Amino acid sequence: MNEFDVIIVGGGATGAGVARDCALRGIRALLIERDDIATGATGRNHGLLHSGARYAVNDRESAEECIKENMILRRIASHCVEDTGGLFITLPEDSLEFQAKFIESCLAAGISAEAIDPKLARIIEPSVNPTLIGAVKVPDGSIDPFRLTAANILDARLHGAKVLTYTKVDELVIESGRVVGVKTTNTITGEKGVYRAAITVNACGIWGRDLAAKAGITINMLPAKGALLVFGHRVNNVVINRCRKPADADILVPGDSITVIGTTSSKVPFDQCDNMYVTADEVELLLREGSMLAPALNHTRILRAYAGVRPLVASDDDPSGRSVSRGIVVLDHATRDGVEGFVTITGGKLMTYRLMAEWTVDLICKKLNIDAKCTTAEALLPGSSKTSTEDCMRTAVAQVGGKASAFYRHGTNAEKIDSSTAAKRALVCECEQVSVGEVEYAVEQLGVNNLVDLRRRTRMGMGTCQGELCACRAAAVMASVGKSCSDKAKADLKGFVTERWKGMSPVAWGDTLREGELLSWLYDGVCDLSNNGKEE
Amino acid sequence: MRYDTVIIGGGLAALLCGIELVRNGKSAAIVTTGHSTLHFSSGSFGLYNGAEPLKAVEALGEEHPYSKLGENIEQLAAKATEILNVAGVATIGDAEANHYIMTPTGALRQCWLSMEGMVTSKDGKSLDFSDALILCPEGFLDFYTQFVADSLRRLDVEVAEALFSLPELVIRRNNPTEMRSVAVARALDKEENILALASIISREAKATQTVIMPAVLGFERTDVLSRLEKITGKQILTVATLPPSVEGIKAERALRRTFERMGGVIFNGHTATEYTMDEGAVATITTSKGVTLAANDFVLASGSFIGGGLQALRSGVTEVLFGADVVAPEVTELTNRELFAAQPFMSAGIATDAQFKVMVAGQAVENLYGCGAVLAGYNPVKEGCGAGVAMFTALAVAEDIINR
Repeated sequence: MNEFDVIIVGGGATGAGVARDCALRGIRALLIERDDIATGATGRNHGLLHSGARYAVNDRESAEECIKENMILRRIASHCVEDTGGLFITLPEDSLEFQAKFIESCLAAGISAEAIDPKLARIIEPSVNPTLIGAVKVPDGSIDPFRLTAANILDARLHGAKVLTYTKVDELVIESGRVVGVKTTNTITGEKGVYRAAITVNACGIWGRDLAAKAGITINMLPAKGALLVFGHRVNNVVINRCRKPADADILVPGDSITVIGTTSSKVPFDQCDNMYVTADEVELLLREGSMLAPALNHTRILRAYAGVRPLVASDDDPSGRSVSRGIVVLDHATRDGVEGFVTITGGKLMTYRLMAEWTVDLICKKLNIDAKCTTAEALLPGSSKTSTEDCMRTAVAQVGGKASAFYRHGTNAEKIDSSTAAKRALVCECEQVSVGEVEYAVEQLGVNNLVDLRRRTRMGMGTCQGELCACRAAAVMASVGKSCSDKAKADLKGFVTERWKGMSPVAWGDTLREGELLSWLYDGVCDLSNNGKEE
Repeated sequence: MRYDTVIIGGGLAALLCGIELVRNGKSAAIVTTGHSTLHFSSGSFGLYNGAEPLKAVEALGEEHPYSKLGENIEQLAAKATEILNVAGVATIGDAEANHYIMTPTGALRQCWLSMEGMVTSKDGKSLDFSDALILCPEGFLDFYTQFVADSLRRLDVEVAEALFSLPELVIRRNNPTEMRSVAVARALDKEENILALASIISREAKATQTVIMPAVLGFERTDVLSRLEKITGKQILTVATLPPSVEGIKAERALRRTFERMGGVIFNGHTATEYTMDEGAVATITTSKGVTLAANDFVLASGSFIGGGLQALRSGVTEVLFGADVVAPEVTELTNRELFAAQPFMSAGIATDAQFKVMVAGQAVENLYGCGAVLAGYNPVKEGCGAGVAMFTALAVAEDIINR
């Protein structure tokens, strides 16, 4: 059956959110993603649960959206959110006048913002720059974008949506000036497909420009690269922001077992969007500014560097493309370009993915004459049943092995992980406590096709060894649950360690270089994996 | 305390140098953190890649440590092999022609020496057995039977696969992190477990004459493989596992024992942190535990980045103890973003003169030698020469010290 009501192209948080919203409203949806879920900008940011405070002074509308979605996500995605709280600190070179304006703006946007004694700030967050002269408490938190996207996908599927990853849209099917479907190729098997739907949604982020172009539509987008650094442990437990006009590298976010500093902001050409490397200058800037927030960053091991591309959209009435909106952009191409059956959702941010989806599906309902209300602000995502998660954690902590971290990652869905035998409890990844059972669960239930997908679902290989020891074990476990032959498993292993190194290479000094030397010794030397590759 | 020679480092280079010195009547002390890259060993030793390694090294440029050894490489290779064998590390292979060892992912990799009892091939295309049973401990995740099985099948070997368990391993597995190579190897130190495994082998192998296992046969004992062969009448071969490498650790321990038995002293768990100079020569070094050692000669065999001899700071690469002159690219140029390309950092190291005397501030220090991975000018992974450089430079340095 290749007929749907809606086809969503793009498996980031937004696309996943649209698929879920459609499914909950009884709309037959197909989501198509050329890679794995959350591979674009969704998985390449701070993982910050914005309070909205950052936008309060300059962009009241975004600030209000953020705080509303913040409160919603704490409820519907509780297993993806950590309530760390946030601080906006003022340093001697910053102005306390800005702090006053900041607090006023936050309160006006409905964000609780309380100025506290800098001494108290140092007690709340011991890693904070001790020279601070001001601090404001805001309801920031951290959110795991991979988990969030996976939970949306899982719920969409539970409610009847179909999801195809590793499927690329070759062209839009256009009949009488109307988009009526897509032609696709599976990037693993090469299999071609044709899918039809009344409406096709472009949720491709920065790549949405190319999809629109397939319908002869121009969207002025500005790829803005943002680079971030991951540190080897949780330097801070509370999000630390700089209380000044938003600038580079002024947010430090703890998440799971690590801390992230970011971001930079620079324009990049479109042809580089698929190949983001972090430059030495960006690393320098991130460290310099980051250590102003928490001086310990200067001597904390950096695990890796990564970068994403924000899909900034130029205002339609500005042909120069200079006037950029950071807000949500929903384009109905019927009214904008005279092309029916095609809608673009872009702009926005991870924080507002649900609202973006709501607006998009509202438009879809209007176009399809469907009378169904959005329920995604109330309906809990799978894994997020709050009381039950807490109960599970309590019992899990008492158990041996990585069960507690599995609950942390999968919420109440962790109950579905088989831990009945020693074989299932055996740890594949020791840094992040990922068991054989969890790997099998991810492969069987969460649409994992390769080791990089597995990392996104479980954090396998995200710890200090960056997959050095666990990748080979995981490749073997995956191969043995029938997902791959040994040649494919080895190619996968090679791809995984290559990808890990890509993030380590820009920050390869100190212990990270030592880890890199071991990585190279093990996979190029001891295993001779480069030679393995040649056989294929 | 005073010794003829103090060696800084505890890896293959340090141990070979130490053994050569003490067996030639010199007193020697080794100062080591206790970690050795032998723990990541593949079970083989590389001299240089290519069918004929001794010929291949003739073409190397003058920056390569081998070029300072000149004609002596063949003789040094023989001496290194002899020392390994004296220490009880039995090897096969010779420097005239490389052979191949099977890696944990089933590739056949060129090497000069391999530890006896591992799966090897003379030509990289064939094996001297035509059917084999691969026997792996159940729940052992650091060895994947399928990788090895598929490679063997490509080499026209008929392969059967089986898992085994022992009561002790069942208990081990209750702790999710315990089922690693060393734990399995320790279980197989026990006679009762060897006998149990032998009967499993006999039962599972049936008519198959060759049994292949991960290299976890005994930790303290070195005779587990031969015991199993004797009881079962089968040929038992092993393939290296992912780290820790039991074969590597056993080789390290054997070399350490040999050094100590011959009179050498090991300061284990010590990091050399300070030194004093006297008239352009090193006079003493002091360790992290406050021990000061004086010597006529000092040998820096502290390894590369992973060994801790070199350090990559954001400002540049340095040699950790003496601040010796370093040959290395800028920190931003240390890596190639493609993991499997030649990594520039691999060739970084200290500058030495023609006798491997360490250069500090442009001058060779009279009584300070460098050997092994701390040296610059070669890529151990891409050239397959890590073990050769470690052992030959160590022996060349020892000879120089002995002949002084």
